[in-house]
Amino acid sequence: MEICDSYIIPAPRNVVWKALNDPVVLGCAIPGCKSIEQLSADTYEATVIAKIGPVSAKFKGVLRTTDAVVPLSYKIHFEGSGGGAGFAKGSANVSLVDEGDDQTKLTYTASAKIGGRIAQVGGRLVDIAVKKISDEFFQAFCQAVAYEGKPTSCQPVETIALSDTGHRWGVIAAGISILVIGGYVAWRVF
Amino acid sequence: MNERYVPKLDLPGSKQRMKPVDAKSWIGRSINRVEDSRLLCGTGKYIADISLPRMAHVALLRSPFPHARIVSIDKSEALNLPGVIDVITGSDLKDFVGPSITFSSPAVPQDVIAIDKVRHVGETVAAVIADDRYIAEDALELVYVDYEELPVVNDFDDALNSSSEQLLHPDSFSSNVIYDKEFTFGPVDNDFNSADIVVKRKIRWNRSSPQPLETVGALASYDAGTGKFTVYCNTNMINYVAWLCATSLGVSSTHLNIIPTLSGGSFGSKQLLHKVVILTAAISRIINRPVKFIEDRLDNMTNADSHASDREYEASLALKNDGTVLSLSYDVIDDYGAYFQFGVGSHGNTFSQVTGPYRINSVRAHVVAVLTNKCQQGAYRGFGSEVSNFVLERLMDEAAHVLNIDPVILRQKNLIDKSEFPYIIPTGNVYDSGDYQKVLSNALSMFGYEKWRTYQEEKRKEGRHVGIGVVCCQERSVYSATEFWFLNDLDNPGFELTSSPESVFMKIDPAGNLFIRLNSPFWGNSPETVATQIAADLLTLDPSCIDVSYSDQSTGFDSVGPGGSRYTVMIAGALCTAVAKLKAKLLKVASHMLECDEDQLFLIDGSVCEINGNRKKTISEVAMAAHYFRLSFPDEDNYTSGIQATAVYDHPFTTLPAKDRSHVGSFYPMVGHAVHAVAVEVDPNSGKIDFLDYVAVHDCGTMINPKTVDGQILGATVQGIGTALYEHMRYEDGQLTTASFADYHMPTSMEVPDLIRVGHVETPSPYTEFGVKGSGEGGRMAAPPAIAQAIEDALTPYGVKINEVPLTPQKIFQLINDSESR
Repeated sequence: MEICDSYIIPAPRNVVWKALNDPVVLGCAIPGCKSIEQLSADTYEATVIAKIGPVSAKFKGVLRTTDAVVPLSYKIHFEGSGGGAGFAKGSANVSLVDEGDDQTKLTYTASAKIGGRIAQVGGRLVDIAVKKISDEFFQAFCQAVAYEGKPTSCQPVETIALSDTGHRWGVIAAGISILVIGGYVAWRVF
Repeated sequence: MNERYVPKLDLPGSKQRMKPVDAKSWIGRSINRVEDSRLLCGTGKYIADISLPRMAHVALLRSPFPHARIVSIDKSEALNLPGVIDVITGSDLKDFVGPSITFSSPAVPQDVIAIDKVRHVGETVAAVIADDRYIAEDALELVYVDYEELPVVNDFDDALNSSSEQLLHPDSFSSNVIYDKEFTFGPVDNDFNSADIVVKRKIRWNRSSPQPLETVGALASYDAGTGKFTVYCNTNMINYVAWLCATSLGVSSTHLNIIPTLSGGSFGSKQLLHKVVILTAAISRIINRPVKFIEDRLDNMTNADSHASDREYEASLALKNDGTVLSLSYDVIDDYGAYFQFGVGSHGNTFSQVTGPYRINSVRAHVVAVLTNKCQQGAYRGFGSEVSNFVLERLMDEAAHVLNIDPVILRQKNLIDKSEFPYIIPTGNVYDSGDYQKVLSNALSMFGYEKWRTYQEEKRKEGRHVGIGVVCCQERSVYSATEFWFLNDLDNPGFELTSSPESVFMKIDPAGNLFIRLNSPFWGNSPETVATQIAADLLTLDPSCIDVSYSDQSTGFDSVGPGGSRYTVMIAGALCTAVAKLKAKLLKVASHMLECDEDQLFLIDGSVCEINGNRKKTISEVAMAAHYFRLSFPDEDNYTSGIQATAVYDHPFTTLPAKDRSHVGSFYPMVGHAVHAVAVEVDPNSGKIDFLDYVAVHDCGTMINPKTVDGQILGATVQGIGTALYEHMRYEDGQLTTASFADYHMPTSMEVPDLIRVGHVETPSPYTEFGVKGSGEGGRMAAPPAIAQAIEDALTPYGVKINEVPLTPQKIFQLINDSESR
């Protein structure tokens, strides 16, 4: 399964970068995020309750970042497991470019392998759900950066960060991978 | 051409007692189905309708990986969820459950819950038992399994070249090629050498699967006091092999009683549901509460062991220039998935009619079966013979094309003549009877073949793509037990059973009502209707006086159950035997009451009457006397109180295979015939197929109830349309991507013809009671080749060859594009 998309974020690249380095922002923006833990300089673990429609399930995602060209681009490897719901794993290339003085364009291309019930429901359907949830994430994220990196109105989540690594892109990928799984849940009602 | 090759068989004589003319007043009438009122009113009792006090519910955790070692399972969090009773893994169950049941030899072991390793996506890894199903499903998310992935065996090539970690069953087999044998029936080399032309096709029949409305389920309870299990299940073979479930559970067969429930459709998929019986029974013993499990659709799609043939053929047909077919030769490889419950039974099945309705002198078959990381194959309407029909008909079409002969004329020329029956085909199976020319001519005139050809020409001038398909197909029925093992290795054939009986219990109560108890369960067919009509006819009773019920495992005996279109023929035989016993008793008792000889009495209109005289006694009067007035009769054993009988009917016309398998004997000999004629229009811009007309003419011998035969034909034809055009169990990198009806496309009312016009020819079998043959599978056996031929015909301007099913719109579109770019 291939997913690629891009978003315009209404903030200069340095602001975006700062927000992306802030686990609090990310924890708020990822729908249902319960915890983000930085395990090492380039490894993270996130736990998300993905609740879509009538069903919710807990997913754990681990990710690792490589090929970093700070602060332009990254490659992220992710693996998310939702127990009975299945798994998602793969990698994503994420890049950030200036879009005028006060906007930044974020692009990601992810290739994912999904298994178990998620796959059984069909990539075609999951794609749609992933798009929807990604949009939700970036909407929340944009709202956050519009207030100069300060979260506006969201519940705090448990965040454990190493000191100043600047390696936060992975968290977005965690969100994406978990959202893939979450996408399954949305469609399971069929 | 030299004399026809005929394998040497000692055929038994006919055991037929009732001729077609013996059917008097009820056989042959389209009465309403006896089963219908409770089924259509929603008052039938299925697994989901049955509850027991303190009943717990099971949800199964399924492997997301196609091939992996189970490193560890952490169930602690799930166990802590309120309402969860237990979480049971394969290793937990090992102490309570023995080896699983399989017909394959050598056996490929399968565990009810995977123990060390999972071999396909959806395989059961753990069972969560809870107070209700909701809690059990929630708790599934709290069971954490650590897997170590193994390389995935995806397809034929992977399977043929597997080693080390790719091996599915390395403890038992050093290869994923589980079967590889070649069979030659007759002078194949000579026939190919003397042929003028040889046509070839490479044909891909993709995996589809039956989709009953009701999935597989069981409700088990264990009585700790007696140590006995009682299991309700919607399975089939309860009085044939289900006693083996007791062996798996480690108890005597006296300690397991399987009670069949109504089955909401099977189409082959509920043949032997040992896994669900053993699973629920074992859990019931562990937790000491009744336990219910019923699959949801994902459970069923991924793990019901009911995926069907998944084959690739390279097949050749040798012919003379005048169109005479000489010989058929093929290499076939079949992807059986991760296990092998019926061995290569579905290839043995094809040997029953591999040469179709044609005079083909010899056959070579090279059969290779491989194991991959997919759900294993089970039975599906046709059990493999639908595939060989397709292959043969595609070859006939190729021959017609190469020889420039009308495909109908080519078929007509090669049809076995009605004077040639019983006809032994090169594999040794016998075709009992038939009138293939008549079925074909009836179908052509019903369809209006010439009219459609003219229409096709007109439309072609307008640039539209109308196609016509007409195929002649066999519908073998009434299997015997030898097909379970005759393809196995000669030095390891397994259990060489030869019995495939069906039986009934019957009694007439003091009120004169007739009770029939069948020893096989209801499976979605019409056994009550059939039994009622036959018994009503033979005993001159009104159907309203007849009750039909089903035995369980403890009270039933010697019955294989529905499958292979055998049931009507087989219970007709058992009913005739039992009725003869009841009738003898009625006449005996009545003769004493009327003070005359038994041979002076006969049954008419529910009474025992004198041949020459006016005196009579109603069956109720005789029954009342037989039950309650013992002292009015002589003190002899044959006046023992009551009127009841049991009867077992064995397969009436079967033989053993040759020791060297130079033939496989008569094992599927009641052979019906069908011609399907179809007109379609293909939209080359979308690949969409529209049905313009569909005619199905079938000959299944004498019909007990034409309306139910029509139902079988229509239902099977629609399933055939699904197989031909839409249904595909598609795996990608070991993941089943079509596990719900959003992706596994079954035809709806929008995708089937507005009207399938059904016609009948009745050529009675000389070997069965009343001349009945089976009729349950023919529709699915004939529809795919008819539709493929029609589409290929429609796309003649593009030179497209149809060698694959399903023919989805995408596939048709792609074939057209490929041909245009050539």
